[in-house]
Order: sequence, then C-alpha cells, then structure tokens
Amino acid sequence: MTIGILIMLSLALAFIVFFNRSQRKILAEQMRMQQLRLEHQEALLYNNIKTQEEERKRIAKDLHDEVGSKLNIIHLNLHRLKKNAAASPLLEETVSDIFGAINDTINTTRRISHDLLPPTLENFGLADAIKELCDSYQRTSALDLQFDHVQSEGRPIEKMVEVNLFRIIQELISNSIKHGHASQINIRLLANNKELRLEYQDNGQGFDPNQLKKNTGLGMQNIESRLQMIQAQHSIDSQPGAGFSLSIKYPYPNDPPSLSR
Amino acid sequence: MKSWQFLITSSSEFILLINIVLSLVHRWKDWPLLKYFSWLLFFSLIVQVIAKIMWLQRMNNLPLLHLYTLGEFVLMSLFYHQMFKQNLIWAKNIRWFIAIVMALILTNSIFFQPITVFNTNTKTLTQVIYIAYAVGFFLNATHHQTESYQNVLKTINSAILLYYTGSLFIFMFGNVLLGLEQRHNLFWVANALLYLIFQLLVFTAIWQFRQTKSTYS
Repeated sequence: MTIGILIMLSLALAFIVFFNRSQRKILAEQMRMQQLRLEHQEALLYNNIKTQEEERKRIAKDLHDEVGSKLNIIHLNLHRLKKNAAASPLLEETVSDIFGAINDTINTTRRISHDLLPPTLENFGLADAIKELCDSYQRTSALDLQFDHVQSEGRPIEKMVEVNLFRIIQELISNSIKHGHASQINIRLLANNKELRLEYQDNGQGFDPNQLKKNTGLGMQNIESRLQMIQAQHSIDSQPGAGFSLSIKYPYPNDPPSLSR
Repeated sequence: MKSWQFLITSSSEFILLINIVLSLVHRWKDWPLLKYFSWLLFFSLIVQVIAKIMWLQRMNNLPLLHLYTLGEFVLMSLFYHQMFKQNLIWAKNIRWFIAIVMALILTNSIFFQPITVFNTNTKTLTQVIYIAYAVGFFLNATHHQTESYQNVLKTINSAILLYYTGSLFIFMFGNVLLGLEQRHNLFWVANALLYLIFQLLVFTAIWQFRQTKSTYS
C-alpha cells in the first residue's frame, strides 16, 4: 500500500510539473505571437504615416512646380493681354476679372502646397516651422499664440521626427480652436543634448482625461500614433473647464541621426 | 506515533481555520470561481470540530464521514462546475451526474456500508472523481490562460490532486486499517500529513489571490 501511495503521489507530482511546464511554454509562445502582431501593427502604422507624408510631399511639389509655374505663365501672358486690351473697355474688364481669379488661384495653390509641406520645415527645421505656423494663425485670427524656443545644446533630429512633431502641433492647434474654443495657446520647444521637449498648453474648455481613454477621437488617435511611431513619451493634463496641456519628451537615439534631409 | 498524528492533525486544523478567516477577509464568497471552495473549507471545519467533540466523548464519529462525503462531493462538483460550465457536455449533464453520484452515496450508506462503518466504496468513488476533475482542469488550463486568478486555481487544483491521489489507497483500505494494530497508524499519519500539505497549498492560493487582487484592482 505504501508503494501504491508513493506511486500515486509521484504520478500526481509529475503531472502537475509537466502541465506547469507545458503551460509556460504555451504562454511564452502566445506572448511571442502577440509581440509579433504588435510589431506588425507598428510597422503598418509607420508605413501608413510615411506613405501619407511622402504623398503629401509629392502633391505639394507637383502643385508648386507644375500647377504653380503654369499659373505664373498665365499670369504673365495676362499682363501682355492687358496692355493690348486698353483699346476695348469690355476686354479690359474681362481681363481684370481673369487677373483676380488667377491671383486667387495662385494664392490658394501656394497655401495648399505650404499646408501640405511647409517649405520652412523642409529648409529651416521644426522651430522655424512652428514659429511660422503661429504667425500665420495670429495674422488670420484673434488667437493669442505664443511660441518659445529654448535651445541649449540641441542636436539635429531626423526629418521624420520633425514632420511628425509639426503635424502634432497642427492637430493640437486645430483641436484647441475647434473643440476647446481656446483664446490663448502657449507652445514651448526645449532642446538639450539628451532630449527634445515640446510643451503645449491652451486655456480652452478642457476635458476629462478618463473619457479620452474610453473614447479617443480620430485626431487624438493620430497624435498618439505619431508619438508611438517616433517613440516619444507624452503626458496629458486636462480638466473640464481648466484647459488642456500636453507634454512630449523625445529622447535622442543613441546613434546620431543622419543629417541628410 | 499518536502524538505525531495529533500534532499534524492539529496543525492542519489550525491552518484550515486561518484559511477560512483569510478567505472571509478576501471575500472569496463574492468570486464565483472560489465561492464553493470557500464553503467547502467552512464545511470541513464544522465537520472536523464535531468529529473531534464526538471523539473526545468516545462516540463513533463515522456517521459524520458519510455526511461529509456527500457534502464534500456536492461542493467540490459545484466548484468545478464554475470552471467547466463553458463546456457544453459538462453543462448539460452535470445535474444528472451529481444526482446519480449522490444517489450512489446514499444507497451505499443505507444498504452496503452502514453509517457506523467506514464508507470506503463511496470515498474511493468520490476521490477518483476529484482526481478526474483536477486532471480535467489541468488539461483545459490553456483555455483559461487569460483568467486573472489562473495561478490561484492552479494551486488549489494541485492541492486537490496531491491530497486525493495520495490518500486514495488509505481510504480505499480504510476499514482494513481501522482494524489493524497501533503501529499501522502510520497510514493515518501519512493522511494527516497530506491534509496538512493540502491546507498549506490552499494558504498559498489565498496568498496568491491577495497579490493578484492588489495587482488588478
């Protein structure tokens, strides 16, 4: 009987150990699969945003180089036509109307092209692009938009990171005006040799951050996807009626980024 | 040998009491998966206290074992029902299964092994069923992988599997052992030791439950 008890106990123990080990293996495999899925999703997201940015760049370039230059040629020819149309008042009036329409079209094309990819961002970097964006909002609206750039030992950052941070700022300003009805916005860009910090604050209506976790709008989703893509950390602080603030921390990667743009 | 048995039995009863208090503190009765197991612990304590009183009064406490076998089977089956109820075959037939086994336990106590003798037949039958339940849990464990209290359930199942496989032969030959000389009490000491391990594993499960609860809350 003693041997029977011992055999039964050993069997039970072996059974428990065996299933614990096999379960651990299954769990490890499931975690590996989950990690792979996550990586795949991140890669998809990265490619999506990258394709979107490339497409924007292409459209902006086409608009500027193709449509813009042709509109300029039409504009020049209209000048010539206007000189010759002085004899006929009806023709002169029609040419003036076309002039107005052409000028509007040139301005609209330039604006769309700049919105798609600001040349300042492309040529002078993030800080100047944000400054230009703030200036353009201040010129066209009653919004009080302050931008402060503090740079101690900043390092050059990848174009892709700059573009994403710029898009985030665009989205945030749009949200502050559209949803927060803010009248004042403060943006601070701080750069040192370790990280880049971007602080955004408005005096709008604010919201409950817990609600945001449950129901993220497309704009916020887009912001979070872009932050995830550049591997930046962020924190949101907002209360209903107490404005909104977002702090972004982008630690520079260990390898210095390529300076080629 | 008797003093050893007394010491081990008293220790396991003391740990059982602690386990009941802790399961009440952590409100196991509010968790469907652990509710019936906490009732089983409580039922065990009541039966053990009454059995001890009867033993001190030099009364035959074997009728209590018949009652305990029945109650233990119902509570244990309900405990496993919470884990297996997503299985359609189980969910459809569990009532019939419990009713048939209960009928067998009662028939055995009335016609084959009266309440004054050891109910080895039904003890063996129910223990084999508990072993099957525990094995069934482990075989289906991967389906419950996402369950937050999976580690707690695994520990309880290990306790059940170890105790009932270890004591299966002891209860199977219970009547023979009762008639043997004092030196064969070794088997009852082994049973007491297995029960102590069972209670210690339940204590570990409560500890794991406490930690999981604080992680998820």
